[in-house]
Amino acid sequence: MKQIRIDAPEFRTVGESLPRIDAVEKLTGRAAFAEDIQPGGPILHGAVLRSPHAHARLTHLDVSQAEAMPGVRAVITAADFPDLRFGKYLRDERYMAREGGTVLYVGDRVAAVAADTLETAREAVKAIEAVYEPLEPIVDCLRALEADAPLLHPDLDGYEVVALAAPAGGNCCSENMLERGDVEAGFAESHRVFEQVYTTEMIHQAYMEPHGCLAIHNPDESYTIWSSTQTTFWLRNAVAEVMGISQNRVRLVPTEIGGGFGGKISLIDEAAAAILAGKSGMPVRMVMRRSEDFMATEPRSGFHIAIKTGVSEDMRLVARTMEVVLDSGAFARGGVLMSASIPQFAEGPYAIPNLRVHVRCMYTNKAAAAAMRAPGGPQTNFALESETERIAEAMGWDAVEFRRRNLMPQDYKNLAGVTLQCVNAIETLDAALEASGYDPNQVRPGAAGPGTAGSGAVRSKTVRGRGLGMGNWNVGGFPSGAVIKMNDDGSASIISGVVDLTGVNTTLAQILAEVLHLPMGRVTIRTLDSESAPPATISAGSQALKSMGGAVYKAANHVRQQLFEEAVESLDATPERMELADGQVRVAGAPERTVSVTQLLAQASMKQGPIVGYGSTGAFSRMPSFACHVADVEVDTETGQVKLLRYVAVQDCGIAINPAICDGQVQGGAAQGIGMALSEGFKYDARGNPSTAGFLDYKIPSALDLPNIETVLVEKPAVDGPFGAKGIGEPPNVPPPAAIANAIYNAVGVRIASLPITPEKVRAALREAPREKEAGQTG
Amino acid sequence: MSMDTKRIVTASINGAEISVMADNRMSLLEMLRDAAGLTGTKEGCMTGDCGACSVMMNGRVVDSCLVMAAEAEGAEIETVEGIADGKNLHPLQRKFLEHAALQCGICTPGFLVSAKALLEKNPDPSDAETRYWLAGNLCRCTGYQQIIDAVRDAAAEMRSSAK
Ligand code: FES
Ligand code: FES
Repeated sequence: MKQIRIDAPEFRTVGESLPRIDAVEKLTGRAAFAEDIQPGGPILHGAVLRSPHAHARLTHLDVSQAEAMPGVRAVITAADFPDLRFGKYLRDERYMAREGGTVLYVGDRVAAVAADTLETAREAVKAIEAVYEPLEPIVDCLRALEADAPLLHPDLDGYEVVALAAPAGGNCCSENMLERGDVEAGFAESHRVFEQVYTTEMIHQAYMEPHGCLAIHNPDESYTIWSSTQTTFWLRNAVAEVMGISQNRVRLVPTEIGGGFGGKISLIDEAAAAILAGKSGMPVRMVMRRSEDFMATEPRSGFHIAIKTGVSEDMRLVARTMEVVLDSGAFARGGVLMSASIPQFAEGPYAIPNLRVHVRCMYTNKAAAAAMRAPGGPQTNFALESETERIAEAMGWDAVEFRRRNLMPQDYKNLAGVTLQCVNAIETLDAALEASGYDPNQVRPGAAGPGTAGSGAVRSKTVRGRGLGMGNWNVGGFPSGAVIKMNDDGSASIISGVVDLTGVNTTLAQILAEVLHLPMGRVTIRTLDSESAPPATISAGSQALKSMGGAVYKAANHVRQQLFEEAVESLDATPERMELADGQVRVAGAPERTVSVTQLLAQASMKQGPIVGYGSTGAFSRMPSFACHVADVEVDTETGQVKLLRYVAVQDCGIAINPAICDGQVQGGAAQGIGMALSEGFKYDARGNPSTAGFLDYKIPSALDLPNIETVLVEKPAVDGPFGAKGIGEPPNVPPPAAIANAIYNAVGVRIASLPITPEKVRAALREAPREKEAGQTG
Repeated sequence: MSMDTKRIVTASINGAEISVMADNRMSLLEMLRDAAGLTGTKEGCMTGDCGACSVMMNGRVVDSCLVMAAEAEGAEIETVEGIADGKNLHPLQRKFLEHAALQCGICTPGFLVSAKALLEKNPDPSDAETRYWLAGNLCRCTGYQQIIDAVRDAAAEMRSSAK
């Protein structure tokens, strides 16, 4: 990791690469993830009957045999839930299929069982009699657009819109369009116009910990639910909604979470566990099998992107349209959320005067898509940045200069009308060029030279290439509140309701230590449940640090201010002149005038009660974090195999509160993007059966597939983040597919427009290549 | 599932003799987690594809999800809980901490067990050898480099303290 610090101030604790405060627990096996929670006493194990059909009518459901099995303590169906549809954006979702109703994907919940052992629960699930009348499934989101396609939600018009969604009839659960300028006039005045279609596959978050939860029904009719979730409060709300009870009756306790990446935000089996616990009177644990987790959670949706770009003779982007059809799966979850980020889709890091982006989220008979890391970002950036290089090559331009001329300026007003501050696009690009040694004059295919020849008896020809991808994610966020409890000895504890997904608790503790001038050993952070912590945002969208960090920063200053006010009398000075250091409040410039924090705390407590700090952050609008990646690949022209030789990832991150944690985010984000580029794709067959529901078929990168990812943090303080920090979880996941596609082009002169770039696709493209060259450039 | 297939399995787990009642379908992973209460070993897939359940059995790394509890009769098992020496972290654990080689930490127990086995066989593994050895342990958070660095750094420290 390298750090490039631009006008970056130095702090005491902020800026230190301190180890995660939960590291020892995790290194010794003591950290309790969802599957590890032991409530004490016997527990039951839950299992779910899931639809084996992608699209069918459930004509008959009989659970009596299952109920009669020894060891079975409860069986539940839709009849055990209020008759309602729920949803965060559009109320289109049924928690369990009703008899007479439809199932909408393989994995859709039909019934659930709690039994003494997991084996018994699974046997009982098999004993449930469910009869289906299969219906024609939609597996391809383009098919969903056709007039004669089956309607997956015939009552769409009647569904209640909660937020963001704009249902457009047919199978379209949301249609959104944003436009600036006049694209038609823009294309007319362009020197050249380029068109291309790009496609991406569904991607699964593939966190290493499957979804799991444990529920208890309490004597006061409330429920306690432990869950491995990214969001205590959104999940609590969804559980309450589906069960038809008030939110204070659900105490949602977040456990340690074994990765989420956007896939642990929605309600999964928690409400089933709660109802089973209520019906059986015993605690119920539900942990998904890996295959179940793959098929019945919420992957990243696949995109079909038609992009059209007009450029001027002097390297300007004049006009662009982007038509996106996205695969929302069975429900309007992530598709709708993604529609909220469409300004970033077509814009990326560039300023384009005439721009239109049109997104249609289509229902299909697949798992409902959600918001994986940088929702919509990697998909559209693949199109954007592939086009950047394709256009530059066709025009004979230097692709870096082409980018430079079009990067968005400071205070750029984006398509949604948000003025984007702290635009560090150029700094990020420059750092990437420097770190990688990228030479824009070497972008011609084959310019990077041959690779190391194939080893041993296998004769093969390898060619090297290098590619660059530039992207961004504009981080916005939701509200959070934080409480800081001062202990009598001057140590401090943060009470937080935000889940520690990425190490954020360590950085929050660093923020508190910095403001109150405490050593790390004197600050503690507790992630508490929905009944005990103030409401907090989701740990997603790169916003936890800014939302909760901002709240902690304010809460710490609230404590500081109260200490200063309490010190007015003893120090005979106004609070403005006071400083806090080493457990003392003192008067600036008069080191002899001090009073200890412990004394002030005791004094204040006797007078008006204990000093407690509260701080909060409201919803905040988006600020871009830029990422620029450079990939070096070696392509085997006979096998089509692509090997990554080197990978440089530069991240604009504001002040890195904990550089090691930022480094980890960048490496992990890039690694996932590399997987999306080269090997990952969550696939369904023509009947809508998932065909990659295990790690054998769904191939995430292993240690052998990745090179050392060299990271560079560009640290330039952001205006409104705590200590100038920006959110950075998402952006490193954005550029890898484009950077790698560009590197492959650079190596062998073929442009692959569909992800993942498998050896088969490379081989096929290489066979086609000579013909393509004869035909000349399209567009 | 019937009662008659149950048997008592006795194994040495992290040096302590433990007997559990296991039915003939119980995996070693379930025996450790559910019967012995050692939940440090994780379940990621139950199909031998992720390495989260890695433990040492008679000196070899195994995916405990693929081993039947009955096969563990009389075996020496070592899990993540047995890696530290009381309160003193093993060099691997310390180096994981220093190199920020864990994020969510669900894969960490498996990596620690596999890495420890590697260093017992090869006290000075190269970057490539380390990657090869650990290729059966999946991590979705880190991108692996910090893990590889931590393992090799621990190896260096263990070599110099062995001198
Ligand atoms: S749980 Fe054993 S290899 Fe995944
Ligand atoms: S640290 Fe999360 S899977 Fe490895």
